[in-house]
This record gives sequence, structure tokens and C-alpha cells, in this order.
Amino acid sequence: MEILTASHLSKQYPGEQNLALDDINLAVTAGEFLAIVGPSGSGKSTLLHLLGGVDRPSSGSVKLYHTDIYALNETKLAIFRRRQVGLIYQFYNLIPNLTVTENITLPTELDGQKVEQTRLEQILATLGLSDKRNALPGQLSGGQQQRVAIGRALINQPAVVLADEPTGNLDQRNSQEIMQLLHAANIKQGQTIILITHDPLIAQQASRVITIEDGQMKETR
Amino acid sequence: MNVITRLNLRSFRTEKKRTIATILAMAIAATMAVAILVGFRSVQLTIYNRERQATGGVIAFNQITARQKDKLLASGHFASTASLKEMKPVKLVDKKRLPTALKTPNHFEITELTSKNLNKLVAPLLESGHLPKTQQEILIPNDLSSEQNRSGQKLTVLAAGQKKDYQIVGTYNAYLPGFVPTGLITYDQQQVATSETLIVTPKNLTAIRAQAQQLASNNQISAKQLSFNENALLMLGQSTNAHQRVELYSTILICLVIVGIAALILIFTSINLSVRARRQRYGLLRSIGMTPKQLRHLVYQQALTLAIPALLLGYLVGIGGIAFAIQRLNQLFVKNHVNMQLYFAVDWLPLLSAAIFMMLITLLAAASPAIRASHTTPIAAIRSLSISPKLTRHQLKETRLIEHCHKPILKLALKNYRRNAQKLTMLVMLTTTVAIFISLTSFATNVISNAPSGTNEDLSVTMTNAPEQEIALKQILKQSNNIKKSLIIHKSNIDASLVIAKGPSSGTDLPLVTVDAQRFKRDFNNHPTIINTQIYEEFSGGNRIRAWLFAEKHYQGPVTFTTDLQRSTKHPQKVMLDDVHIVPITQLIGYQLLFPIDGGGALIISTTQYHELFKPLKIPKDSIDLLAGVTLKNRDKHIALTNALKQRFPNAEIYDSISANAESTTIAITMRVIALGFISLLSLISLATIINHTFSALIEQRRGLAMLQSIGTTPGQVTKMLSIQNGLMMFKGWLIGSIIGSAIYYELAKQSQIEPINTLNLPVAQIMMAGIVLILIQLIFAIITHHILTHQNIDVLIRND
Repeated sequence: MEILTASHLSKQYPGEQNLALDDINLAVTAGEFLAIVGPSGSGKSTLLHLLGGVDRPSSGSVKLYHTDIYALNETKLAIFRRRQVGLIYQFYNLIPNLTVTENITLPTELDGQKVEQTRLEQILATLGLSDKRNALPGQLSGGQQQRVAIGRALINQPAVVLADEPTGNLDQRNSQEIMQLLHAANIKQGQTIILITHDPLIAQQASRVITIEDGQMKETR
Repeated sequence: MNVITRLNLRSFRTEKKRTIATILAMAIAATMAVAILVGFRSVQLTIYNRERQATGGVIAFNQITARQKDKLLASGHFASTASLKEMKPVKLVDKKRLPTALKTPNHFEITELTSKNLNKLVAPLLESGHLPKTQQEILIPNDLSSEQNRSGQKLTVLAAGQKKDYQIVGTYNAYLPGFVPTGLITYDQQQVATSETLIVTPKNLTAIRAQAQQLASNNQISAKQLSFNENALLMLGQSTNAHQRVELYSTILICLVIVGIAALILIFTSINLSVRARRQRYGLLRSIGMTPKQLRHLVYQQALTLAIPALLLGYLVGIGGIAFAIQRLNQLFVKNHVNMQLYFAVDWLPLLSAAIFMMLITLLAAASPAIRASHTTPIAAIRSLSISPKLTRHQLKETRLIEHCHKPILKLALKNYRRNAQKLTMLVMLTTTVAIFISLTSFATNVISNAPSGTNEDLSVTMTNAPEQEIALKQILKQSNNIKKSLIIHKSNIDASLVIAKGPSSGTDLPLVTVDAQRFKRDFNNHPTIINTQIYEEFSGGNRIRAWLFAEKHYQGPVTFTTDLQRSTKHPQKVMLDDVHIVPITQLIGYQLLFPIDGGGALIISTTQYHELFKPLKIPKDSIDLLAGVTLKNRDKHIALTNALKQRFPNAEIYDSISANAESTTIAITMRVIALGFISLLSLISLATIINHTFSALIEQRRGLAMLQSIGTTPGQVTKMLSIQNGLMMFKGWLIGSIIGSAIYYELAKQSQIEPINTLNLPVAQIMMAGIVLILIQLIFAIITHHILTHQNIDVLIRND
């Protein structure tokens, strides 16, 4: 079942002549693990941000569960994002003055929902952060911080998790651990994951790989 | 705890320095609001109490029965009460003793009061003598006072067909506001009164008129029998005159608007600084689903939460400051024997008003940063603030100055300055702050310098001219070691009338003053001289101009001398005077002692000339007075000299202006304290705003500066670049602010008519002060910038904030 479709998606930044993305058409099925690869500046991150409702396209549409996300106003889009999209960044982007638990539960709390303790415990255990639950991001290693970011992305069981080079700032061991966690979420919970990476070894672990070059998409595998 | 509250509390805890800086900035604004409101309330109650004490109460129930009076007293509504008995009107037996204006009808109200009520109701009106202490003593109104009706004399009245003798013991001022009927006032005779009047001060000061009407209605007293102390009620904002109420409240409103603008800028700068610094975090929160509304809520809550400790601090400093100032001023009043007591009033009204004011200002100040925060896009977080600023083609174009600049750092600074997207906002803030500082401090300084400061001399002596008296006077002055300056002249009761076409003086009469031959030669070069002084000329537009009384430097023409005697007989003495010099008083050293610059001037001739001119008129010798003016080295020791002069010259008129001016001087000091307090707080707000502004820009640029450092720019070079950028901004803000501030000051001074417009000067001192402060800030900025640059972790800043 297709849960995410992008139709004729284009993006042009103000003051630039070339298109960052040029007429991208993409369909993602539920439970898919999609890797996006491509050289620097090819438009990978732009595509990811457009798929996640973080940035707005110049033309085209993105539908998640048949909802045209760019037809939503700012408030509805924000609510949509916190419920249906989980974002993981290369540099973690955690709130420095909130603890591990507070960072993970933030999207739930922003939604006015009560945090399910069993789910939180399960996530903390899965991420190996049970003993670090009260630590601040500054007291954690890079790998641990990225695990917190994964926990935050997964807490609301979103329709899709978007990860922008989640291992780009980590060593090989930590990179493998993060990939294992994402795989576990994908296989055990059927979590749909779209991941950007430069690393061919990481890309090989995905069920499908697409390449972006000069804003255009090629199906690789 | 709600997630937004938790986010804010965590931010406060982890960013202590920024939190404290914001609280302190807000506290300065809160202090000013609290000080103004508590100060206003204190002044309001001080004047209310003064008015109440001057009349004995606030409400009068007139012409009521003894029963009604007792019922009213039993009501328990009053903080203090006084009463008087109105007796049947009386007639003076000796009608000849009445002044012409009062001869008909010969009909006088007579009021009886107990000793306590006399003290309360009549003592403030007493002009001379003492209050009646026995049933035979009587007080008369000052318009009945004459040669025949004086203290110590007998006054016989006809009351109910019977004669009664009283002894006059004093006079009272019948024109001062009060509740005592104008007429004769005597001690309580224990007789049944025609009617009584009850004067009260209510315990509850709200809606006094309504309270009085309710009490009157409950006791079958008509509304017509009520009268009020209108001056006291005016101070409580309960005047029936809407115009007066508007005037009272507009004064406090103007002060609050000024403070509001200054506080708004200061608080806005502080909150804006926090919001800008947290932009990336807001973007991140938006990316994980925080709605714009939640983000606005976050900023508003942050501002309001910080406003609470700021307000508490403001209460502490504002109330403490006012209490301290009032205590010191009251000590000053006691020291100078000024019958004035400032009340320190802290009640819920100013405290609540200050809280509402602060919350409103905080909400207003937070509005723009909150909206800006809510517009933060998630992409801001993801791209780590690397969004290009929106620049116009004009901003990108290099000016000739930039093109011809060969120093790379200067060139970069000029480019940065030109392309600074926040430049306009910062410039507006800086200009407004400088303009507020210059206009208001100049205006307040002007008010202070134009406050009444009394006469020029400390002591003056006027007595009939006699050579032996003059010698004795000179001797006393010579023996005293407390004389700073002295001047002795002879002033005739003859006026000199001159015919001058030019200047505002045409037709002016001048007093004729004579000086001895030696002084006439030394000071006036043997020329009859007109002492030229200044007057105010008012034009139709309401503009006042300060002008010299005489426009010319010489006068040649007829002078008509007249005396009081000649006026009545219409035989003036007209003489021609050759070449009368007209000299501004400012050039006559020592003469300002007796001729103030805004006085009426005089015509000076020598004693010899005087005798020659007036010999044919046979003017009596006593028509010329000896006039001496003295300033003292130690003004606190004025009593000793006054007593010595009084002892030596018992018939002389000795005016001790130090004693006489004590009240006006003390009031002038009070004005100065209030104005200086206002200036200080306003300056503090201006300073805090500029510092806040400057450093907010620095913190915002830290990431960009780290990038410059990463490509090899030294901290010194970056500091230089920033100093140029900041210096240009400050110079522009100072220049435009000075022009606008001076214009506002000029308009304020013109509208208030404190000083004539032609003597208004550019507020150079204030402009220079603003400039010096900005230079100091610039220096501190350079030092701190260099420190930050040499200690910051470039790697962390470049990777992530």
C-alpha cells in the first residue's frame, strides 16, 4: 500500500537559476526502507524536507495517507508533522536543556497527549538509554545523542521516519548500532523509513535505493 | 507541568546569565513605573492631607440641627470631625469703624467654636494675633481690619437687641478656602445655636460625594446643605469638573507614556535578543511539530514569567527609593522650618497599576518577537541558520566609498554595515533612545534651572536716609565676618518717566536711584545711567520672547520725574537729560544684588545731581530711602546678622530672604529631587537599551564571526571590523537622535512656556553626554568582543549552535 506519494515535485530557491529538484515523482509503500543517495548538493536533503513537510515545494504535491500536506495551513501542517513524521538529523538537534526522557517525549507532550510509560520504557530499553534517562544531551556521546533523536522520531509511531544522514557524524561502530535500531524499527514494527546517506554500505541495507543527481531522480535498485 | 512551562523553566535555569540580564532590564522599567505611581499616589495624598488640614475636613453638613449632628457622629464613618455653631447675625454698634465697602449692610455672621475646633478650623486661616481663648475675645476677618479695628481694641456688637463687648485678638484671612462662614469668630458661649455645621473627613476615601449624599439622605439633610473641600477632592480625582480630572490624570498619563515607550524599547530589546538567540531551537521545535501558536505562547509565557521577579524587584527598589527620598525631604522640611509633610503612601492602587502596566508593556514588547518566533521555519534548524538574508540589489551594490577603500577589514565592515538586514530596526531603536534621553533630560534640566530661586540678596535693609545711619550700617557690615557682597544705594520715591520709541519700554516708569559721587564716577563714568533689565514679551501665537527693556544704548531726551504727591496734584517736573547711558545689568558687577535681571531696572544719578534737580521742588528729606543688599558667606548664620541689624535699627525694614525663601527653596529642592530621579531612571533605561542592543547584535553574529576566524581572520581584525560597524551605527543613531531629541525638547519647552523661545539653546551638554556614553559603550563593546572572540570554541559554533 502506498502511503507517501510525491508528484511532479520541483523546488527552486530564490535567486538561483537552477532547480534544486526537478519534477520528482516518487511513491513509498508502507513498511518500506528507502535510501536516497547522491552527491553533495544534488537535492537529497531538499527532497527529504519536502517529503516531511519541513520545506515547501515550488510546484507539485506530496500526499501522505492521501492528504496533500501542502494544502494544510501552518498549524495543521505542524500537527501533521508531529503525528505522522519522525525526523532524524545528522547533528541530532536535541534540546540541550531537556533530559533524554524529556527530549524523547517532547512531540507527544506538544500534542497534548499523555506519555505511555510502557512505550517510553520500551523505547529507552531498545535504544539502550534506560540508565541515561535523566542525562542532558551534553552529557552523552554522539551515538547516544543520535539514539535519543531516533527515540524522539519514533515516540508517536509516525507514518514515516525521515533520516538525513543519521550516521554522517558517527564512527563505524556507532553507525552500525544506529542502522540496527532503524532496521529493527522497520522490520519489527513495520516502520516506513526514508534515509539519506553517502555511505554505499548503509544504502545497501535499504530495501530500495534511489539516486538524486542535479535535482533529478533515478531508480537505482 | 505543561511542556511549554517546562521548556521555559529549563531555559531560565540553563541560561542564567541571559535570564538575569533580562530580569534586570525589565526591573529597571518596573522600578520607574512603581516609582512614578507610588510617587504620584504619595503626592496625591500629601496635597489631599494639606488641603484637608488647611480647612479642617472634606465634607461639611451645613446648617444642621444638634440632633442631626449627633446622629451623623454616631454613624462611625468619619476619621475626624469638627463643628461650629452659627448664631444670629450681629451689627456693629459703631458703624464708622467699618471700611467703606462694608458699611452696608451692617450685618455680620457670628460663629462660635470650642478651643479644639478653633484649632482645627480657624488656626490655618489666622493672619495676625491669636485665637479667642475666652468668651470675650473675638477674631475679625482681614477685610474688616483697619486703623480702628486692630488687635487689642474693643468691638461692640448688637446681638438680638443687646449690646455685647468683645476684645479683638486677631484677624483671619477670609479669602482662603474654608468651611467657617465669613464673619466674626468667637469662643463657644455655651448658648443654643441657630444651626450647626459639622465638618468631617471620611474614613473611606472612595466616592466621597456619594457617601456624603447617602449619609445626608439617611439623616433628612438636603443635598443643598452639603459642601465639599473641592481642592482635596480634586487631588483624589473626584472633582465635579471633568476638565480638572482630565488635567490631573493626563499628567500621570504623560509620565507613564514616556516611561512606557522607554520600557517598551528596553523590554522589547531584551526579549528580542532571547528570541534571536534561540531561533535555531524554535526551528527545531517547529520541525518536531510545535505549532506557531504554541511557539507564540512559549515567548509570551517566557516574557511574562520573567516580568514577575522584575516587578518584585521594581517594587523593592521603587518603593524603597521613594520612601528614602520622602524621608530625606521631610528631614529637609523640618530643618528649614517648612510647614510641609510628605506622606509616603503605598496602597494597593499604585501597586496594582504598576503590575498591570508592566504586564501590558511586557505583552506589547513580546508581541513582535513572539510573532517572529512563530514564523521560524523548521528549515532554520536543519540548515543551522544558514539562510541567506534578503538583500536588495541596492544593498548589494558597492558604494564609491567601499570601492575606493583599500583596507580589507574596513571594506568588509562597510559591506557588512550596508548589508545588515537588522540595520533599520537597530537604528530606529538607537535613535529613539537617544532622542528620548536628550529631549527629556534637557527639558527636565530646563525646568530645574527655571525653578524659582528667590531674590538675589540674602538680606536687605530699607530705612530712612540719614548720614549717621549709613555710617552705622557700613560699620556693622564691616565688622561682620560673614559678608560676601554688599551694596548700599539711595532710592527715591520719585519715578522717572522716559519717552522712548523703540523697544518694549516706551512709557515705562523707572525708580530713581542715587549713588555717591565716588561710586558714580567709578561705576557709571559720571553719566546718568539706566540699568537695563529683561522682560517677557508675549506674542499672539503664545510664544514668549525674553527681551531687554531698552533696545538702544543711549537716551537723550526729556525725562519726567513724578512723585506720589505730584501725581495727585498733577505737577510733574520735566527736565532734559544729556546722554543717558543704557547699560545691561549683566555688565554692572555687584548691582545684580539689588537689581535682578528680570526686575524693573532703574535710573541712576549722583546724589549731587539729585539735589540740584529737586531743590526747587522742596521734596522732604525722608522721601529718599537708604537701601542695602547683602549676600552672606555662610547662609546658615543669617539670623545673627538679622538680629544685629534689628537691634541697631529698630525702625528699619529688614527683609531676611533666607527665612522667607526657605519654603520656596525647599520646594525647589523637592522639584529638583523628583526631576533628577526621573532623569536618572530614564538615563538608566536608555543606557540599558543601548547596551542590550549592542550586545544582542554581537551574540547573534557569533556563528558568522567564528566562520571568519576559521578562515584565518584574527580576533583583533574581527574586533576592529565589528567596532567600525557598530561605531557607524552609533554615530548615525546619535546624530539623528540628537536632531530629533533637540526638536522635541524645543517643542516641549515652547509648549510649556518655561523659558522664552529666543533664549532656548541647543542641548549641547545632553548631546555630548549621549555621545560620551556611546563612546564608552563602544569601548566596552570592543573589549568584550575581543574577549569573546579569543575564548570561543570555533569548531562548536561552526558545527552547531
